[in-house]
Amino acid sequence: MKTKLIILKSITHAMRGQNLLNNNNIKNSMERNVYAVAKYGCGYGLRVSMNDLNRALSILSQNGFKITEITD
Amino acid sequence: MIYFDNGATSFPKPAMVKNAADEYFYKYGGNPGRGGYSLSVKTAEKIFEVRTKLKNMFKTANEENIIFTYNCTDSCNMVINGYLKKGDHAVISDMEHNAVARPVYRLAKEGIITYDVAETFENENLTVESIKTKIRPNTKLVITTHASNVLGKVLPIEKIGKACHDNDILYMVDAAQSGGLLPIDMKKCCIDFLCLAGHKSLLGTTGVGVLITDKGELLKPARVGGTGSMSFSLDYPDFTPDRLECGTVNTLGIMCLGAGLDYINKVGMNRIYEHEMKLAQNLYDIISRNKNIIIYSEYPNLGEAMPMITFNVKGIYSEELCAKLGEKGFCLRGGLHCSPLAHKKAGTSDYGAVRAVFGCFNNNDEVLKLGKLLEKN
Repeated sequence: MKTKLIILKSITHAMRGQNLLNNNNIKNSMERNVYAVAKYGCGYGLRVSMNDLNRALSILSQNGFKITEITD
Repeated sequence: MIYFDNGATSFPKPAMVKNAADEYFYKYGGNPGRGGYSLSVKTAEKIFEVRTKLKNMFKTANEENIIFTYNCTDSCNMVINGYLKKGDHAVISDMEHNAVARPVYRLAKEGIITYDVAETFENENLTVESIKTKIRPNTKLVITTHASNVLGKVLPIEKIGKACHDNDILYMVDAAQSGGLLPIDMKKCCIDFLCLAGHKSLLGTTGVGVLITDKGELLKPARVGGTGSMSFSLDYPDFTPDRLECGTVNTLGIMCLGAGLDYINKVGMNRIYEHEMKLAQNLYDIISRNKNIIIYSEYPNLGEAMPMITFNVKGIYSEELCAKLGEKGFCLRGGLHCSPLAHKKAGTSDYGAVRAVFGCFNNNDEVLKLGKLLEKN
């Protein structure tokens, strides 16, 4: 299954985002992307399936999250 | 030893707190948020759990609003020094601890701000009106304690908060004494900045304070440095908690604080409060019969006071009495309790007062022993 990693600003954001997506029944996992670490210094993100990506982005955005980057 | 100085720090701590410390040493020693390996992530998860517990206890919107600080004084300083600017005016109450009074006074002395001290009263509405009369067009911040650390009096924070927001003024509450013992709903009470001590009624260890705010972006950080985020930039993050939490957080202390919160949730905040208040009422009843004793705190009615009795024995300096009690194994604090404003109000500025503050592990036998000993003086 194709997935995408939504990079967030900090580990605290990533953890809150994870709870939020879980509460909305969006399967996800938190991971740290080495390229994003080099680029942004945090690099923590939430991996979701392509099918859930838009809904996940919408939920995160509605709850005040700013997305740093969406990557593979 | 009988410990009645829980206003300074709670002692002993619940076994759960010690167990949390053990867990830190053997299971959660990674640097939270700094590494991608599991030890670091697991530790970060522990820190996040404590943010969630605090969020739930004090009714704030999300975990990013929880800022871990060094202590409650640090939290107060972060707000006062980080928010007030040249030309601003602040209002504080006449019950404030030096954690509030000194940073405000310093800013005023340096010509940056002006401030007024509002008198508090037994009558809640009079206190609110007193604060309102001090408000000026340039008032930017009202600061009150939730509960006096000298007289135990609980201030009407919900009414004060509403008055502040009605006037578009932000409200900061110093809840060093009450946090963990009295329920505080930040939203309902219109609190913009809530300052907490981790080691008092929240039952954690020293070295951890908490600032809860959804307005962290308004505070200029006193310290900047590494946050594990935005590392490419020399600018500090514009988002919380990173913006106000530079450097590695006190994982050990935060985990212990989390265990303290667990203990409060398990036993029940109200149950702990009622237990401690019963002890305070018992001591009040005993020593109020002694004509040699002057009691400064009001009778500790539930919801109106902290479990704290402040008194003096006629003809004996407070520190002298504490030393005498100390020789008999009692731990009570004399002097001014870092709160000269409250002592001025009580008329005890010259000689201080003796303060007994009860904790969840005290019992009535201990109160009776103190009462008996005080009868001999």
